[in-house]
Amino acid sequence: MLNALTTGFVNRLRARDSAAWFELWEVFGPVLEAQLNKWGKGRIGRETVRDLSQETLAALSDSIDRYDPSKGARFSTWLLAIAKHTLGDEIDKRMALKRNSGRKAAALDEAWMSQAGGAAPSAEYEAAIFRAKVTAALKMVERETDFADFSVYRMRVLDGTSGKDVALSLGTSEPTVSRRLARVRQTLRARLSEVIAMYSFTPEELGEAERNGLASDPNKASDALFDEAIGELYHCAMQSQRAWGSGPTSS
Amino acid sequence: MAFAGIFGTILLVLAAMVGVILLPFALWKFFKGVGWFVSHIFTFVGGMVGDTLRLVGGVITSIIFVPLVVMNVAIGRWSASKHFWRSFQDEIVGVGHAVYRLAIGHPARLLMLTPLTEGLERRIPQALAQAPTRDTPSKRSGAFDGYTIIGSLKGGGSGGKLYIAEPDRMKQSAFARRGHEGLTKVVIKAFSVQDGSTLPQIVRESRALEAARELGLVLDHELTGDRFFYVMPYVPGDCLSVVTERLHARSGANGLSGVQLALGLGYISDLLATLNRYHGAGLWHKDIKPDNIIVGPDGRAHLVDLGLVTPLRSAMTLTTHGTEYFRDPELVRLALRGVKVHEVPGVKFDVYGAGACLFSLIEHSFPAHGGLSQISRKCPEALRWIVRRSMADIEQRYSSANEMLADLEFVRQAPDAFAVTPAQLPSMSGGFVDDLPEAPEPVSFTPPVREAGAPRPFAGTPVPPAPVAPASPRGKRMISVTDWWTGRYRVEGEGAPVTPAHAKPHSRVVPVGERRPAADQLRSARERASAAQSRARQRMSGRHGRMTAGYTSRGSNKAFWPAVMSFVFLFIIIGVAGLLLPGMFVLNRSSGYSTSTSGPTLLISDSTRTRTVAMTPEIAAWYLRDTIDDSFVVLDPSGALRDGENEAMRFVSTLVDEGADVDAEPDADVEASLLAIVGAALPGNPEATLDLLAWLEHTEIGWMYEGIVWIGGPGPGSPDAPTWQIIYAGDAPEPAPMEDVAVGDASVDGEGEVWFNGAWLDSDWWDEVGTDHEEAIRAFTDSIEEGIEGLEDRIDERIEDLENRVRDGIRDAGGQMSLNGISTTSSGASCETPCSPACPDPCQTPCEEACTTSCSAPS
Repeated sequence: MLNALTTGFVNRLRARDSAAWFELWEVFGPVLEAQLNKWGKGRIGRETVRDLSQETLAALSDSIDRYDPSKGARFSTWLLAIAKHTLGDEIDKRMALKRNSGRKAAALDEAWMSQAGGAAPSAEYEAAIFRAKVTAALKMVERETDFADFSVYRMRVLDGTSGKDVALSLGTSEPTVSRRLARVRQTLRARLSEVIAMYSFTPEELGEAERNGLASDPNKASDALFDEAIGELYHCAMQSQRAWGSGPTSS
Repeated sequence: MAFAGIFGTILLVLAAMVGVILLPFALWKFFKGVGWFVSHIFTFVGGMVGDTLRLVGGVITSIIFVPLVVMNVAIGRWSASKHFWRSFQDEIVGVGHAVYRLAIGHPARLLMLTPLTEGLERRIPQALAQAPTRDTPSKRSGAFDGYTIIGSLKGGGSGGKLYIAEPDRMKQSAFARRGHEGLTKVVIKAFSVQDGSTLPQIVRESRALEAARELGLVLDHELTGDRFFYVMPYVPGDCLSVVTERLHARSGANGLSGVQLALGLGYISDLLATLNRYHGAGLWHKDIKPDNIIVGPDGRAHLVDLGLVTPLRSAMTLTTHGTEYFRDPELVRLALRGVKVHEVPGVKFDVYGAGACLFSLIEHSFPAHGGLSQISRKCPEALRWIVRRSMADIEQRYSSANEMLADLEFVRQAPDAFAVTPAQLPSMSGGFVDDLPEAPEPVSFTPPVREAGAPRPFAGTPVPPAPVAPASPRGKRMISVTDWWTGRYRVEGEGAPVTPAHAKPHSRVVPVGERRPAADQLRSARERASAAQSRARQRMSGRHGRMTAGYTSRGSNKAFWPAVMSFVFLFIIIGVAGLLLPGMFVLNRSSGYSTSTSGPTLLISDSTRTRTVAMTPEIAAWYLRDTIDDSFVVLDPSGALRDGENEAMRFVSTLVDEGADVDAEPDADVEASLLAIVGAALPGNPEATLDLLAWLEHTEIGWMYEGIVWIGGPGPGSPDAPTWQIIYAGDAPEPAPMEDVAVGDASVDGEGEVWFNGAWLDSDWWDEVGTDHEEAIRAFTDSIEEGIEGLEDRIDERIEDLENRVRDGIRDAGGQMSLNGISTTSSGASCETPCSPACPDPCQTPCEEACTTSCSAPS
């Protein structure tokens, strides 16, 4: 049974809400680009992948209307299926237009689609999806909390700076650093729960946070583990982005 | 032997078992390989067959197109012939591709030689697509008068073509006269419909042209029926992304430091200084990225590409144009919500772009995660802070490029950039407060509807601010605001509304028909007269300086009686002025009438002034129907009206039916041009009014109209109704004198009598000065001022006289006069009956009975 947050979000997507699609792209776009590039085995140029924009996402294929997420598929699998149909459809259309020869693709090589057709999401893909959720929660917290508070959290947890150095750098005391840290951590726990709930279709996905050391139950002992887990996930997400290295596009 | 046999048997059995276990996997792999091979062959065969058929089909189609081209040429249908010729060319290209695939592509893939063909299939087409356009404009678009094209640049995403050109002598002289001396090369950005540019592209580029020209960014431009181009100074050099690569190559893998870091920060400083100029001129660039920053031979960074430059006050809908990762995602969210440009802080979006450029300079990468992007290379801590602050949430970001520049310059000019801490930055003002007070619970005036993932409302949208309430021990309090203009609010469950201390009370002017008691009116009139008299005294203080000096130097004792006399005379003047001139004190001569009425208002503007009248349907109808021809209606660009919008337009339509020459369905293009000039700034905005007057008087379209009727959203005087402003190209007429019309605090009744705040002004005097109300009041004010001036002269003389007499009297009596009028004799005896203050003449000698018994009423 889907929770209210998830249902609301899916309904917004089905209603062709551009903002919802942009949100989806913002959170999971880099992961999908990396997966597509992996499927293409280098035969799909980065320009082709980068050409896809929010307009592409907004131009939904029929699959989102037919797809029933309550049938037990994971969010990540559903996302991949949507992306494959929508992105693949758009790529075919663009390639056909370039050749000016009609909609049916007469590509130089269509093998990538058939090879990717039966591929299930890998563990690496699932991990990337979870990291994207954590990054989304961090971005929400960054927007909501005071800049100074989040800067303390970033320096202490994400950059690994010691509390003493943070205090020295910002001209404050260590107790103040701890207080600000706690404030942000509390907000992050709440947002993380919301983000995971929104982008999860199965109970298994809902339990991902616990399995990754991000317990929502706050206590002193778990705070350190929580911070460590966040830091590690953040660094992995940044490294993945650097490895894929998809550059900016103009619109 | 037996042992060997047993051992061999065991081995055989084991091998058989392993073979049985491994056999399925081996078979599966084998069949998978066979399957792959078969599909590979079939793919090859299918590709060959398909492309053969495609080749044949392409040849046949090409043959069919040839006669179509010829026939259209023969009958003179040039556009159709060009269309079929292009289709023929596309078919030939398709045939060529099919031939390539048949001869090389499919055989190479069959033999697994795909990497050999990648260059032909991918890299060559990409290089061709990215090549600069022709070095000269096509014959279709034509040459550029006054310029010689010498090269071209790669076009951007806006659809225009970029040429490098040399201006001739005349052009160079013209540029020099405008302050651009020594310009031997320029860049021409050209859009031609025949070359494939579209009208939206042309409109977008031309939108900010005038403002850009004033900034010196655009030297020349031309717009014809099918072509538009503009000329910019040419900045030779490399873009910042290339320069960044060079800097990192010299610094090493760890990151920038030393000279390279200083150079890089200098380029960003140049960028921020340029952005400051843009923002000061009312523009935002909207496409800040390293590729749009050129480092010239002078070592300075120059911002180029005006394709997306937008006026900050534009009323157009915000678009998502920009470059991913250097464009704030918040801008995209707002654009998807359909907000207008003037409703968003364009300045802060440019600051985000500058921060992203700084990130890319330091990290040699792009900020894929926005403000959360990690800086992994060596970087001063203060610089990290600057990057993060510039890319933070919009409300917490630097508010201007200047603020960011101040921090950056501090780091750049420090002896050791790595030793600077964020706490030392100018924007930090000394760092954090150690003991943080517990943040008060935020008080919201509507229960927040939380939708996870939903964007926060942007503070720039017209959401009324929540009044700050003291923290309550009970936690969050829900309040509802009952009066937005004073901030008056009611706390739920606590009864009476509360007016914040900072709230200013409404200044209510008595509307027509509701006159206060005479005593109240007289008191308020006297107060206003006193204020006007103070102003008059200040004006005359230069001529009568000794007046005030004389009072203070002689001491209060001796000045008592003169003060009394002055007060009496002034009281007379104040009383008269208060009865006659209440309206004068609210006049602002520089802008005409400038009063507020308690109801809806109609602003009447012309080239000399803006005045306010009470808005009634009769008044509006009189102006629109009887006084103005050919007016253009603009209805609520801000979108703040709801029912009022329909009501206002219904009223206008009714007037049209009654003969008013008002365009009830205005031209959208004209409205768009007006909105581009002033946005939604009216009614009442003086600057916008002047802009529209200039439009009416100096543009060809404006000449078609005698005035503009601007119906805007609710205003201070009319929170529930539209506000109106009528702008006249010439002189605005006076309100109908024979109707009940309120003009400031004066009103004219149906019989032509003028009333000021309940007092009736002699109609004979009114007739004498005519029906120009302001002129009449001005004349009366002048006469009063002259009267005051003369009176003060007489007061001076009188004071001097009295002082002399007092001095003489004291000398004769050998004593002194006391402050409170109790006279003393030289022997110290006191007068039992003090002189009455009402007595006009002070006692000549202390305690004379004549002083008290002969005291008469003031004359």
